[in-house]
Amino acid sequence: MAKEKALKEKEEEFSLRKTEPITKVDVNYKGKDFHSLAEINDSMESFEDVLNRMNPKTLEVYLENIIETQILEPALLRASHISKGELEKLLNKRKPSLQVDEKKFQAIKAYVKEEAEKNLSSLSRVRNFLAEEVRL
Amino acid sequence: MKGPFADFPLEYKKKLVILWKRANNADREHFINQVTYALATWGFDKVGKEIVAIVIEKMLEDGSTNLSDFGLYVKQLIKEGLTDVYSNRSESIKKAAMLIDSYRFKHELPLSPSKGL
Repeated sequence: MAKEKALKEKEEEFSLRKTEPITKVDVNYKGKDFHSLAEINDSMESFEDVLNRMNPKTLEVYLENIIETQILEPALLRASHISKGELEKLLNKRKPSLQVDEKKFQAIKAYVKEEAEKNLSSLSRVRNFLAEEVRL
Repeated sequence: MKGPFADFPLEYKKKLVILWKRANNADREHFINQVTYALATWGFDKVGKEIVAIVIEKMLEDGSTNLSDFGLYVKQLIKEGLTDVYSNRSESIKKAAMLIDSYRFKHELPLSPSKGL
């Protein structure tokens, strides 16, 4: 009974008012309006509750946004900064004969250049990560 | 254009984001670093991202509650035939598994998946 009451209170706390356009979510939480994904992300106290109340289409867009930008992107950025030499150095610790494919290395270089131009702030983090790992 | 997680079941997307939100910074870093090695080795193009999505889907399907288990599932999927499905990346998938294995060893990450909250 107490659990049901608590759940009802939670439901009242979070009220999804509209779900379109799907790139923006308009959520009312404790009387405050949130108009952007970032705002919701930063301010939410009960993340799962809000997810459970989202329109499935909105939810899908929101989740994909988090997966792409927060979860996958940092790894992509770091991967793009691992040079052929660094990768070989790591691999050679286990099996000296392994080589990094030249075509892939060229693709990595092109990606690094592109990413470096648009995301300079992440470079020092990437460099530190690599410096640490290559020391193995 | 469809992203690598476009065919990911909605429930799994939700589970993944919730695990990500709950994860501590160390586990997040371990997860990102293992995915980094994977992408850097087997490629970060569309297919490379698709393989990452498959590994994550396997983790969630198996009930892992810690994203830093990523590398364990690369190895498990290799045993289950991942390298046969992606035969043109077979060698690089195996290289990635070796790299991730070294990483996990260096950081003393568990040998079996975490399944409790």
